[in-house]
Amino acid sequence: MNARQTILGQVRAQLAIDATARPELPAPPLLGPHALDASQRLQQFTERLLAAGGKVHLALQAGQPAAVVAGLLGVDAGRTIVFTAAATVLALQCELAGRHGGRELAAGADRADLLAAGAGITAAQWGIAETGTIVLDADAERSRLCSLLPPVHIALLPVTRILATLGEALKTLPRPLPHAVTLVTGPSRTADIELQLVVGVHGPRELHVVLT
Amino acid sequence: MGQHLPMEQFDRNARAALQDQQQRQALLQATLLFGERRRAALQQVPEWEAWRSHARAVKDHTLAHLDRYLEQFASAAEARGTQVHWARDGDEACSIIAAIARGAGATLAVKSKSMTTEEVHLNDALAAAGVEAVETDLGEWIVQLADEVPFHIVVPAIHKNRAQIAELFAQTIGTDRAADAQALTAAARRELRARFAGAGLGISGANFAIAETGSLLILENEGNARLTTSLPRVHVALVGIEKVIPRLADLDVFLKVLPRSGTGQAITSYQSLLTGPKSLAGDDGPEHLHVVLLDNGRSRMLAAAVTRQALACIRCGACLNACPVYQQVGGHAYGAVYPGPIGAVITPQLLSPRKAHQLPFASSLCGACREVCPVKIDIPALLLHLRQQAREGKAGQPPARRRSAEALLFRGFAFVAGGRRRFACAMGIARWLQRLCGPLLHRLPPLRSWRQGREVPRLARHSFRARWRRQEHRQ
Repeated sequence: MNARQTILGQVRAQLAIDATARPELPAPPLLGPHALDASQRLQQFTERLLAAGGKVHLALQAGQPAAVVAGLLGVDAGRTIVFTAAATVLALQCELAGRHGGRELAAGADRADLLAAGAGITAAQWGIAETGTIVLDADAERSRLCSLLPPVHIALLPVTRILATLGEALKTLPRPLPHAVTLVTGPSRTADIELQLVVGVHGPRELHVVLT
Repeated sequence: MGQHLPMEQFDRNARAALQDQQQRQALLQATLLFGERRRAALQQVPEWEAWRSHARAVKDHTLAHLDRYLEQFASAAEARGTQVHWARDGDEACSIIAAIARGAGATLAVKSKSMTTEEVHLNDALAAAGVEAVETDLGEWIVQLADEVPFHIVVPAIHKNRAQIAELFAQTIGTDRAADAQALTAAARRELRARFAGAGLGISGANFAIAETGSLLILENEGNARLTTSLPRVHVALVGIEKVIPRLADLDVFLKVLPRSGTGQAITSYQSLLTGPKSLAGDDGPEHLHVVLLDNGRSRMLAAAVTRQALACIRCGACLNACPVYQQVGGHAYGAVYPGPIGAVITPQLLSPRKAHQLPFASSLCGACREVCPVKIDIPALLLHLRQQAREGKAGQPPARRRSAEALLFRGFAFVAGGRRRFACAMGIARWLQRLCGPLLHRLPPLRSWRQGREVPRLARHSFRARWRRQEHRQ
């Protein structure tokens, strides 16, 4: 017998000893606050992301996202910026090309460039008001490292894509699932030394969500 | 890799731990702070009790149909290109992962935090196979540099203060001895980035395995699990068979209860939902994804409802923080991979029933662990069950300790307490003995060991019965 057969056989044999205890699977309830309108979702998303250490920037008018991002990048000018292949990010990259002096790279940048980059710009496919979370779909972004390796992560999120709850987000994910879906709530953090909060341990120390 | 203290000597380990004042202070501060943060987080959610019941109901159902869900998980994962392996025990898991490392041509592996890999002593096995495994969770890396074992399942290095960690880093990676937490963390980031870039294999555990989609879910705050699972060409996850949940939608409740119980966060910084290797050559992510499903004694615990519930554990660490014994003696005294109340329950059943016989006694049965458990595991009931087993031997086996001095003593007590005259007579002798040579008796066994941490009650000069009789006479 191979290991698979042995383990499954053992599981079945042990479960058969007390065959009465076979409780049903409860239906997944909609947990948490659901009946929120768009402005409540926006408000809650903003509050909770701020509480988790992230920054939120409103840039709802055409042209505003590029101005906001240029402002954020200005602080650390000169370092490489990496972009994902999401459509909104590519559009932003074109708009920025004229304003920003630093070298700019598209997705597919090699490891060395990603490791040296000062900021990574991505889109986010959804937001979650309940927790102040952004959801990154690796198939849409064609990148997992852009949001992870540089010390600053800037994400563009359409304000209409903020969902109320985590449960709703899980239902909304495309099927079949992308090979990686990453939920991000605030910067990378640790408290492993004397429980003192330090941000930017392995991932970005800053997270900016630009609402478009 | 660091060695555990001998678990069969919990009493001795615990006494030694109580002498370490620095450790006790750090430990008490940490466990109380985590307890406070947890309470603060729960105050925001009036639905907490309903969430707990729901989370437990999902686990109970899954465990009762575990064979079905394991098969569903395996076929869904394989359909997405994940290679699924099955390991009956720790040795088998280690050799599977060593073979994967060989196949990947890796001599350096990066690891994100996983208690299951600690359980099977994976790092030692990989070292023997010529693969260096580097821990990348900051706390785990500190513990690895110090050649120790984790002190806590969520925060592995809480027993060390900043000065000790600065000294350790100064000796191993040459940082400044005066470095603060910020500078030490930055040094770790630099040092570990180089390892991530050079590693041929990423090793992780998983918090949940979703049967419906064949996905893994990993929670973290640092980002090292994201790096481990996206940078190296090959990713292998070691997953206990009890980690399966039925549907993607079931994640909702677990993502709510786990971080709140563990660190008091409403959600951790990152959740990675991973389904198969990358599909397009140019994308980030591993070319090969392996999942090793580990039994290692878990299936044995399915037979009875009382032991089965321990498999519902989601490893949040809340019971460690709440336990008055853990708060004093800390994680190393247990001599086991899983310390604290849940460790005292899992270790004897999962790993070493013979050596771990003392662990179920390392509890005052106060019930704090049961109160805080996000999946409502009745740990005190399990501890009592295991105590009974340790004393009587398992069902169907000859009782191992019947003839011990303790058993004799209790049989004597049962005889004496079984009749009123016998009892009155014995109390009379005890009263007389206590007055005559009490202090001496207290220093002799068995009272001597019983007295540690307890006061011997002073027997009244006259028994209640005697006083009652006299009262009646007077009237």
